[in-house]
Amino acid sequence: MSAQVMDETPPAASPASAGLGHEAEVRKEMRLVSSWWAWAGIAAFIVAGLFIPLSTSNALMISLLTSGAVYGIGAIGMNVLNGYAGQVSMGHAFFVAVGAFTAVVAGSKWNWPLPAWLLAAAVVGAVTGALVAPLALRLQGIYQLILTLGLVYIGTYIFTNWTSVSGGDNGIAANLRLNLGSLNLGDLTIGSEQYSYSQGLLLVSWLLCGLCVLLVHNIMRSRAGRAMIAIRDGGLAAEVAGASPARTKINVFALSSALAAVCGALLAAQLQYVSINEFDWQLSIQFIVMIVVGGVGTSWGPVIGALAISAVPLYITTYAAQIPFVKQPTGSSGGFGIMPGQLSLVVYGLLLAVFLVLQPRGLVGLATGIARPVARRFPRRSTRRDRHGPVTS
Amino acid sequence: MSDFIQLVVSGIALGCLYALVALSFVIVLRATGVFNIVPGGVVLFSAYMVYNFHVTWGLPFGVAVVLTVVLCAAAVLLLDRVLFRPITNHGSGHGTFFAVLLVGIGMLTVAEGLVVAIWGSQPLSMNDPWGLSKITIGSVSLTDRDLSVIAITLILLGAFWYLLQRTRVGVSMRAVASDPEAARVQGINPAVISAVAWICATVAAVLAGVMLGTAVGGGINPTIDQISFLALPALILGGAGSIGGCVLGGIVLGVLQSLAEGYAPASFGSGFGQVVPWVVMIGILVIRPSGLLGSRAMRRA
Repeated sequence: MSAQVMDETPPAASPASAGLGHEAEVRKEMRLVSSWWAWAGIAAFIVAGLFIPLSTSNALMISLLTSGAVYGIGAIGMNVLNGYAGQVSMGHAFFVAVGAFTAVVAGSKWNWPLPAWLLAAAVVGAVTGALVAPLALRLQGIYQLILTLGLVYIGTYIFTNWTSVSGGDNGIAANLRLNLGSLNLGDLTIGSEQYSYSQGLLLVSWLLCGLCVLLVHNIMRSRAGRAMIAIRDGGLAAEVAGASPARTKINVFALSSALAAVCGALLAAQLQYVSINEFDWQLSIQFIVMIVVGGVGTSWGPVIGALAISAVPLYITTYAAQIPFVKQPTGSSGGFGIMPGQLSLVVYGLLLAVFLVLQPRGLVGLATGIARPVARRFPRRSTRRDRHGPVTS
Repeated sequence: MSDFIQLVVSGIALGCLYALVALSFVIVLRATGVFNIVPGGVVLFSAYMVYNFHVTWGLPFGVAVVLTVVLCAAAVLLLDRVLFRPITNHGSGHGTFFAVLLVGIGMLTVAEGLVVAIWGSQPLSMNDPWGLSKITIGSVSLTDRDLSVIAITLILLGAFWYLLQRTRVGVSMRAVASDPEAARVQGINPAVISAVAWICATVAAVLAGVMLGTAVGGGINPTIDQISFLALPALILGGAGSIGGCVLGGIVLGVLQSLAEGYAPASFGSGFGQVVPWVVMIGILVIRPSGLLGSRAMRRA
């Protein structure tokens, strides 16, 4: 998936601008937030991230937004691996599982507070990713895909039989505390208002998700991040320019799996129950669908895709009665009709096909396609995408 | 000892299934240059279609299989035309590989959904077309089904080998695989070649689906397309691109898995047999990255 992500990298300044003008231009390119509408978006995100969890008690809304944020973090990890660094992986579910079970052990068994179990999950995920990387980076294409798929099967075997950690096939309860020092976000009281665990978790997940977007966006502007993109776009040229492919790919895997593991830890907190059977290759596919639908190689795409994709099964199960050809969960066999769970699979498959063929830039690409004519009227900064020709993936 | 022989024979039968599925991937990979997972969906659909024709409609087994091959081939050619050709014509390289793979996996999920929608999620049983009799040689008893699987696979492999090595179409196919431009200059039509490859792959996948569907106790269920993933280690082990490699890889892994399931102590936990092919594959990747019979060029990063 060789989406060009040039708007994340500082391009060479035009030869016309020299001296002080050049420096100013570079500084402008290196600015974290480069336009007024990006600032507006960030402000809206912070306000919404604080306001929505504390104002709504609609269970469906909370569940949808939490899933969007939690899966969004995992999708950002997938995006690092696939969108920015061009590596193929079906093993994301494995790292999500590693994070979930680390959180269960650290947070539920040892009763660590929120920052500690999150950090533990991230560190264990990163280390696992770095251990796998040397194997994966020797391969490419279908071989890399098969290797990472093998991780999922081997992980299932390990966790199914490591019953003290995973509870085997029955799964294990995850009672994670949302403590931040003396502040318990799982049982928050502001003024006379009492907030529930799920509202607290929504708050935590959205803030973390925003942090992860910022973190990855920032890393991709750094030397290490530019090396990742360079390795994707031309391995030999990148090597000549001094980027070590091996070290870069280990960085990529570590970062990506750390994000996947944080996603797993938050997933455990959301479901308050973890079973290894949740972490199959279809979960990995879900992350791929998320980044494809959202926009490969963009900072916001994965989160938008995660929100859109999490909405699919939720709305299908909620409105199953109104959709034609969908069976009620009670009628298990006989007659023509699609089970709600199967329908979301079909929708994923169709979304994948439709987006890859018709809109490879995803929802973010669609939005910029609409916004570009508007942005052109404000000459401060236009998107630099059209210079690089059509995307092939 | 008789246990051992039984395990080995059923392992070879399992390996033949892996080999058939891996083979259907390799044929398409060689003719089009892009890996495509769609034959896995054919495995799934064909099992259900043969069930529908043979059990529900009462057609003879052979007719049901032929009808299924024809219908599946038509569907696959249509999919290739409307879905995959536009992608491969658009671009090349890594992006195309990934797009085709993902669209293929998308089609796999659609296939699973459709199968459940049409036939339900309960496992179905084919009316035992082989006649599940057992052949007993001394103290060794082998099921007819295992022997049929092995025999049919070997016949099919022989036919494919002949097609690829000895006929004009096969030579053209290899020419397209090694240099599409030069092949085109020689008057070979890549579209025809890829159609032939898809039909061959469909035949292999349909037979794999039918044999999976008649497995003892296994039967037909909506998740049998999992074999398209389980066959992938065979592809690696043999080294993609060679038919012999696929067969060797499939059979080695099948036998290892069967022996592991038969002899592993209980302390190894559940699912040990299924994980063996993956562990062996990773071991091979570390020790001998080019596979047992493969060439080095295709896989290195």
